[in-house]
Amino acid sequence: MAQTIAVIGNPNVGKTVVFNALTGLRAHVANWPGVTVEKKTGKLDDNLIVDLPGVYSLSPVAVDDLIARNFIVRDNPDLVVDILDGTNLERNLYLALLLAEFEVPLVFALNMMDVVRTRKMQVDVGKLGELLGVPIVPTAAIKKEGIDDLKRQIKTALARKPPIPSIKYSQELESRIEKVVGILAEQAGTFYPEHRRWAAIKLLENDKEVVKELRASYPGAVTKVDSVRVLDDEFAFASERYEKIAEIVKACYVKEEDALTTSDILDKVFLHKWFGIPIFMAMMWMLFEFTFHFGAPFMTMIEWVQGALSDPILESSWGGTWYASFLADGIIGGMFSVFIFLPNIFLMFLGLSFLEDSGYLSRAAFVMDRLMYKIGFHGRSFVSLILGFGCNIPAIMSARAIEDENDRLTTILVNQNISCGARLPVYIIIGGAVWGAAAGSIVYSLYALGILAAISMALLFRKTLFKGERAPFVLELGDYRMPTAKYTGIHMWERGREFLKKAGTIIFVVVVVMWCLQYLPWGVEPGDSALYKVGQFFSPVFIPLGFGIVATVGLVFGFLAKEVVVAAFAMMLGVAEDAGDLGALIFADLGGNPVIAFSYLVFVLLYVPCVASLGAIYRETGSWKWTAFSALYGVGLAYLGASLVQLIGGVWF
Amino acid sequence: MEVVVERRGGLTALAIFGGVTFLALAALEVSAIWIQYPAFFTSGGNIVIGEVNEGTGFWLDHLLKSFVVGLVAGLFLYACPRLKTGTLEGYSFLVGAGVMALGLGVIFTLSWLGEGLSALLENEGWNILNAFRLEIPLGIGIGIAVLGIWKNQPRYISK
Repeated sequence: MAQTIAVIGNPNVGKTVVFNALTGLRAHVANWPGVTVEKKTGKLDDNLIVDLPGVYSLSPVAVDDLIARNFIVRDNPDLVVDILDGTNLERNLYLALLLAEFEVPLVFALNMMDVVRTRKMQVDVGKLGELLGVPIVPTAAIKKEGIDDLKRQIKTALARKPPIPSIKYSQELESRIEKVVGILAEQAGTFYPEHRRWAAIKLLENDKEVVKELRASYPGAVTKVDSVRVLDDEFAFASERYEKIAEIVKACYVKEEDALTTSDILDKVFLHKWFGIPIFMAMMWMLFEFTFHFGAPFMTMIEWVQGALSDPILESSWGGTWYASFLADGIIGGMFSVFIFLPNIFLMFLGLSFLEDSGYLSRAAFVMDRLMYKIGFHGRSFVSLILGFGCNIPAIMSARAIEDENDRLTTILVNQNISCGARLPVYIIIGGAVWGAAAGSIVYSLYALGILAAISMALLFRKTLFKGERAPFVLELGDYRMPTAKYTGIHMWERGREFLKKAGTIIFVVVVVMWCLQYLPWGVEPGDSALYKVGQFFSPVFIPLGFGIVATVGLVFGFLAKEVVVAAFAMMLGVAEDAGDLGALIFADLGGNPVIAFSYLVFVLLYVPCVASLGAIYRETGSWKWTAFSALYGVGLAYLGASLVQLIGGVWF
Repeated sequence: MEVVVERRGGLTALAIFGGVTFLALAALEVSAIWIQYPAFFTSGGNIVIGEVNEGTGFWLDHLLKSFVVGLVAGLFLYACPRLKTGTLEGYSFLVGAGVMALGLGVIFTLSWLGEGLSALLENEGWNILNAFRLEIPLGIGIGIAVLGIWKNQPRYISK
């Protein structure tokens, strides 16, 4: 019979790497905490294996904590695999003891043993297992070390349940536990009957979730438990756990005194109070410089493919027919106007994955927290904002890791200001046409403007809509690691694949619809087509900004997916031979005015990323009100931003 | 833990060399704005914000490049007095500046290669001086020297 295995652990200990190694899947892994914000499932033989978000304890404070905790205590997995960071045993053992307290069959994977060796630390794995009463497998999951042993241990544990460890407290605490167990047995028979001792400890610790559950079913029992609880029980339990951890660590862990690590050296620079933020800005500039310039030859190659596909159609005997135009200009031209930017998008994701895997991006969140603190925004939110560089949807979902509801909602609402990969094609084609080789800097300035807009809106929201105290920010900084080609490549592919999927589905459909609208009603001139009429309908709104009918159509269809903006231009201006030609046509359509061109880019940056992002906002807030607000303020901010660019640009340039 | 940096003279000399050369390159970058857009520094008005399709430069691009190159110079120069007194901060800044210089060198190399390959693919011929920048040999050279120092940490740091 299929059984369920839960993979749990503290944040950033390599849970997802272990999960991937066990299941053969490629779930997203990163060198910072909070990457897994929902359950992920896979298979190990016939058994279901579930990767849970990283937690420090089984007392939930944020949405992702609740997901992990509920799975362990409510879904009753057959086996729990707790991943421990071998370089930081003290911290990781706290969760290990809490799991042991829950009396569930356990296997521990002592991960990051490669780093343990590099740092000349020593762990007596046998003794550790003996003291904890749980089988332990040393692993270095990133190098696939110990994974076969872990699989074997899991299979053995599933076949013959390992002995459940028992954590004993001082006599005083034990007597109170016994009393509460008695109360539960007597008055709340169905309340965690298989984990009554655990429930008693949680009730004595005044765990909000467990108390709430008991109150809902057995209110009378709560009063009795209250009479047993002593005010400092929560601290007494924590203190005894830490004492036990200290004993275990002393007995089986040898750490070289004050070894100097790479993080000790680099963090002095990258987290420096004056240099930290400029270094982050410089890193981002290098990323876009690389994206723009190194992508150029690959774009040329894709143009060749486009020509090789469309030229034979147009030059064939049926070249002048509507179906030849549909295939060559509509399908091939429309799709390739998006595909041509694949190299840039993949290169940007490659650069982001490199920074993420190296451990630098978590530092960026840390240095930005100093700035964010001053405006009452949460540093953890910046992690979500950075994720938005790839795609706003997972970034919006990652806000689940934020404990404070005001901070979470603020983060969700401002994330749309962060420029995602889908907007990159618009920047590159217009930036390249107007500013030539300097387009990398234009792209950078738009990304920087997006961050500035997000921070400004967060400040506004925190002062008006979501007033309240700022929650403390705790972010664990993992060690710097040299990114491996394999994982960086996988991460690049994971992010880029989403773009490809979108191209094959929504973008394809929109391109076909746009082509049809361009030729309907049948036989009319392009200026009278339905597509043109759509542009005419909305154009009064955009005329003050100097955007013509074609630019307006781009913005209207760009609401569905930003990549479509370029496809709309390609279709309505006639498919150009290469991206440079198309860029020049777009620039001419924008009046040949660099200020209007930049204001158009600012509009594309600031209005709603895509319809799917609105869906994500609805899912995460559960409110149509916030979803509609997000769309409306996005359009308003974009209009304001574009107007300001024209106002300032008009005066200065 | 008290950390003392040894062989300070050599490390300080490397930091001064890195700081001064990168500072000179940043100044050159700023001077490009002066040469191409003199009005930018005088009237504050009527400035061309970009040259359509010429690809020769743009004041914002020069400004950002001078900022990044100047930042690397700043890191090297910040390290100098701290290296002299033998603190870990000085050593860290030398290493950090070296990492940034190497990164900058690699990025400019990739940009140079990108431009060259594009020219070749479009049958325009590759003028190897096009998009070649002094930061490439300097950044990679100094970066590798610093990585060597980092790799041989026990020779330079005593606890």
